[in-house]
Amino acid sequence: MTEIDALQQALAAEHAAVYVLGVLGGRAAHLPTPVLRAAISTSYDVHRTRRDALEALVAAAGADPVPAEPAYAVTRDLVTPGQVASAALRVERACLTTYGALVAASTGATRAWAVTALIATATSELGFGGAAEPLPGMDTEIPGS
Amino acid sequence: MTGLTATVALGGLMGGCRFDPATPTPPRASASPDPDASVLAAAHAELSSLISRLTASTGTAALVACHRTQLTALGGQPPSITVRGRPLTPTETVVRERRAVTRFTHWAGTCSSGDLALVLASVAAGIAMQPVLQGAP
Repeated sequence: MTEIDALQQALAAEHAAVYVLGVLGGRAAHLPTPVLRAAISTSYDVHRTRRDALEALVAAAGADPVPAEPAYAVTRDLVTPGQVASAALRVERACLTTYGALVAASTGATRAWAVTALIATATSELGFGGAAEPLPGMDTEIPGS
Repeated sequence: MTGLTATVALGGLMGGCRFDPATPTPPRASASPDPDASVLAAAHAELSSLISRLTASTGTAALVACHRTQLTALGGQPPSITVRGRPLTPTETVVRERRAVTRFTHWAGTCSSGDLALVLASVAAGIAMQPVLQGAP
């Protein structure tokens, strides 16, 4: 995988993350879980910032940033706080996988940025019920699979 | 590209014409040492040291297991359980683990191999996720 391919893959994952977290924020607004609401709101802002950064990196590399899809599939089972948290956790894991690929495929400042994003994404999983693991991002599922 | 090819070819020809029996050409493998060897050695040493110190500390079994898994993923040999350093206080543990995150983050960003970078970044993330750092001020 080339660096630009990895950048585009990470950008596609961030497009999906921003969309899904927006939906999850709406669902969480009706739940009596302020901690979860705050975690989703924070995560939404972080992913939006990373999406913008990735678009800039792709453009700086001379390519057209992959656009967002009109919509993304979101599970209908978003009634309980646990279901919303699980969906948010899946978002983080999907992004974590793409940042792992970007770390492996990039160099220099882009890799340094990707390393930071990978670490932050891994720790974000904890806010959605994820468990600490020794090597996050080394054996997670591929987004969309 | 053509110029580069020509330069390489010319260099090879000139090297082939050289005759100096007093200075034998060193083996080709030694001319290109692993550029990440020092990073890998430092990463092994960092995790081995943490394992030794944490093994002597109390309430750190999960952290020791975590670092053993990480060291194995980097191709290192976890130290024997009989090799124990001075125990770490909880505060010292946080300081050492944070320092390890910083170091692995730096190594991941600067090593040559992308594959090694991924493992080093994953180790940094794995340490950052541990409860000892999540609850620390």
